[in-house]
Amino acid sequence: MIILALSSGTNLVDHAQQHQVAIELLFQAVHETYGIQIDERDIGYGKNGKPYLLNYPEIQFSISHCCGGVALSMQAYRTGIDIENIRGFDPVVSKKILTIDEQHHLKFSNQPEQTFFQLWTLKESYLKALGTGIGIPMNKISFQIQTDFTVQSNRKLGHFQLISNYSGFVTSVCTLVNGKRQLPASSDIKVIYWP
Amino acid sequence: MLNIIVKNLIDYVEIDLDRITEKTSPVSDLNLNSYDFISLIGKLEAELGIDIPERDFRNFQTLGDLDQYIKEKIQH
Repeated sequence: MIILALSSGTNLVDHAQQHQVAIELLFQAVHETYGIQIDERDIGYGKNGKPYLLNYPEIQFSISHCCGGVALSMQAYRTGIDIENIRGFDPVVSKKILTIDEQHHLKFSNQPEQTFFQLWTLKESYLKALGTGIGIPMNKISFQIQTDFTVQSNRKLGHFQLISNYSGFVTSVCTLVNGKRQLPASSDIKVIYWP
Repeated sequence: MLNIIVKNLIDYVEIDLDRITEKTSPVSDLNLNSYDFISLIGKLEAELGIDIPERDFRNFQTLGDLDQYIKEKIQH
């Protein structure tokens, strides 16, 4: 299950509020999927600040927030999600994190900001799914984005889902599955438009 | 060095300069997301003429970590 909370106004800009909304989305997703009512007492935090469920380690989730947007992915497999609002980007960063082929794709894109953040969020989602401490440089993780937003990658264990473009936001989800398995039908997307 | 970091930080976030210390976390205290942080690193690399590999900057927890890393990088 993927849930996005998106603000078109000036809401969801405070970090603490974004985090609180993300946790509430998790409560909602766990209840809808497993019929379990959880609350703040069920949330633990790793030393890097990443939240986890104390009593339900089999439930895998990832949260992300940016200015005006909050995103949750909850899957049966390890997952990572990243959301960004589409905006200008720094060419120095694009050269640092994109492969040569991706830089070429970006150069000829008619929507370069959107293309950059598609690639950025895909890479971030993969790194988040792997977890901290996995030091794969971003420019070693490559993607090809098709016109229908399906994604091909050199990371064969990752199933990637690109959600682009909802109200000026790009979101990518990575779920780490064995390549021989089909991703279970848990990747339905809910979008909540925040006031 | 911290003043150079802070000078570049204000391009990304509104900050109360009096509250910035070496223990300030760019993520949880200043609400910098991962893209903003790598963009900040790029600006510091350009201004200071150094290279900060990804495997290093992903380990920075505080501005003090970044400050110390840059100082050591410049000395060598």
